[in-house]
Amino acid sequence: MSGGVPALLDRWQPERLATAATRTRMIHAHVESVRADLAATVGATLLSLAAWSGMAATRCRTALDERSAVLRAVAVRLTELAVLLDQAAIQLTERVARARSAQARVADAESGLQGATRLLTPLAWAWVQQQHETDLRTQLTELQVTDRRLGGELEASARAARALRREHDAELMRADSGAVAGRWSQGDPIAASPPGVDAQDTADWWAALTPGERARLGSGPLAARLGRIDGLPAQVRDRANRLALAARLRSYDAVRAGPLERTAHAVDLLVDTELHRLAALAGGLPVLLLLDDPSRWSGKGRVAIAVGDPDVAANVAYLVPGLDDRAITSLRIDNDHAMAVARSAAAASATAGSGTAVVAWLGYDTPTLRTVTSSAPADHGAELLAEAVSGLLASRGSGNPHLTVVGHSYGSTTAALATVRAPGSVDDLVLVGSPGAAVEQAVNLPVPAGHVWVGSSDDDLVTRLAWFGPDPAGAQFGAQRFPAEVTAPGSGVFDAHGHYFDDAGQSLSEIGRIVAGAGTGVPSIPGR
Amino acid sequence: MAQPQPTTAFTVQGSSLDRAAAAARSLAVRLDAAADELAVAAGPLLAAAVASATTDAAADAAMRWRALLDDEARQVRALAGSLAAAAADYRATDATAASRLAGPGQA
Repeated sequence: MSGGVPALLDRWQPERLATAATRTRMIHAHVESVRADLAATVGATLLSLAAWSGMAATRCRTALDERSAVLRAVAVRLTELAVLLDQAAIQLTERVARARSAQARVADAESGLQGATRLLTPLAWAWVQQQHETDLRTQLTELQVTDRRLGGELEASARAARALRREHDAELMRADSGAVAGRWSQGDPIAASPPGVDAQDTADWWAALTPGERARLGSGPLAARLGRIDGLPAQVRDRANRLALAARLRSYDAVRAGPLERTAHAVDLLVDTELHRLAALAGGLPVLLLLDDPSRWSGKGRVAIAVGDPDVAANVAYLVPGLDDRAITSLRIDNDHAMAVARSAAAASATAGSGTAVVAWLGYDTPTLRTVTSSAPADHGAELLAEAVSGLLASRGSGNPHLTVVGHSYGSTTAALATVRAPGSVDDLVLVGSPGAAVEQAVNLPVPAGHVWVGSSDDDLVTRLAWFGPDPAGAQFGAQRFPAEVTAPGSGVFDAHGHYFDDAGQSLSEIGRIVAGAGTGVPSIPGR
Repeated sequence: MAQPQPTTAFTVQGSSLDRAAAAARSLAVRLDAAADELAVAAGPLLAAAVASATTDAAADAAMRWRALLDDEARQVRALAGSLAAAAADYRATDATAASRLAGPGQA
């Protein structure tokens, strides 16, 4: 019976459980320190403002108390999980050792090498063999029992997380966005000298790795993380994201999946389909998956796909979407826009070939109808977009591309704020269908003079809202306004907002010119 | 006419709230990082499990905890938004009061 046992025993890796326990403790420490700092900063401020009263004050104080309570509960549960994993690691180590020992005895008995047993009669010999095999079977059964127990405990832990989350569902409806910070594990020998959150550090670190180290990172447990770290080359991110996507698609279990997993799986399927569709449409240009986190923001998804190669293109553009742009409903539309702009830029470009890369950047937690008048999602989105832009420039080194950011609708507010966060990075800023750029005038945005562009249809009601500052198409704002009327049959007052990237509209060709670095040819029309 | 001068108490309170909002935003980023760590922690867990049921349980637990921390980051960010809004209210009140103080009959 011992033939398949060595392979079976090799599958148990108790040391991995110990690593997982260590990492869980690190997460616990993060959560605890956030809770302590929340009390020390926000809590202390609210205490010092004892006279502050009214609804806003009550809401803030209640929110602070709730956050503190939830973080405490999370920290306690994570500690329990870490202890559980440690215990499982100890038990498994012991049981694997016993099983190996039993297996060795069986092997010895089978080969008849033990001196004492040579003297036994055949009947006694068979009995000894049977005893050793029974012992080995017992040890393997014990191992399986331990494995099942661990599975049960992990299920309980997942239930605890779910319960904690359910308690706060109502508040989550009001909540703002989340963020990704590129943090690295301390345990990995390569990542022991990890990049910080600064994109330039990341780019420098990557440049210093040997090809072997890069390959190891690209195929190891950290591979999935490479896909979303700003400062790494687009090709590296694409490879990592595709590997992770394929792995998720392979391992998906429809029977066991909960709602979040099902939503994330639907996004995975869509991303996979889109990569194939775009490759067929791109006319030889590479299609790169720069971001792919399907479960981010409760299943809204965080995805960015480039048509063209941002690592080498002379012109790179980021398209930033707006209201309620979630992967499952909007990814295809966003990609169509990117493809249209890439084609338009290619037509406008003096140099043929792969001169332009256009990124459909669904990289932030876009607002819902309930939060669309708040600038908080734009603020946070701008932070992430600025990191993406800085990351691109850092990874390109000295060969910086001509960089354009095109924001549509609420995305124009996000795009404008991003230029402020990454001053000097953006060469051209294009605002289409904009409800405001969060500044009073174009000169307040840190892009070269005359390079803030506005496309605003007179039939687009959103551009009259002025939710985030004055209308960028207004004469006082001082941007370059280009023709952007919708000429598609059937378009009207209520749908002009969604047609700026239409082939039949006036604006697409101008956006293409700007992206191609040929803005001098863009016709100018008077502001409102 | 005299220039409007801010009323000190409101300005100080607004600044305090702004600082608290900035601190909360920074804490939200740290929670995001903790959520990301869970994705990494899941790797060894999945590798250690033998039975597919245990592998599934490990993946599910990691995903649930990550989603929870993700949501907590949102909540803390929402708190930051509320604090910033309150700070803006203070400044608006401040400006109104200052204008009145500097208005006709007050200069």
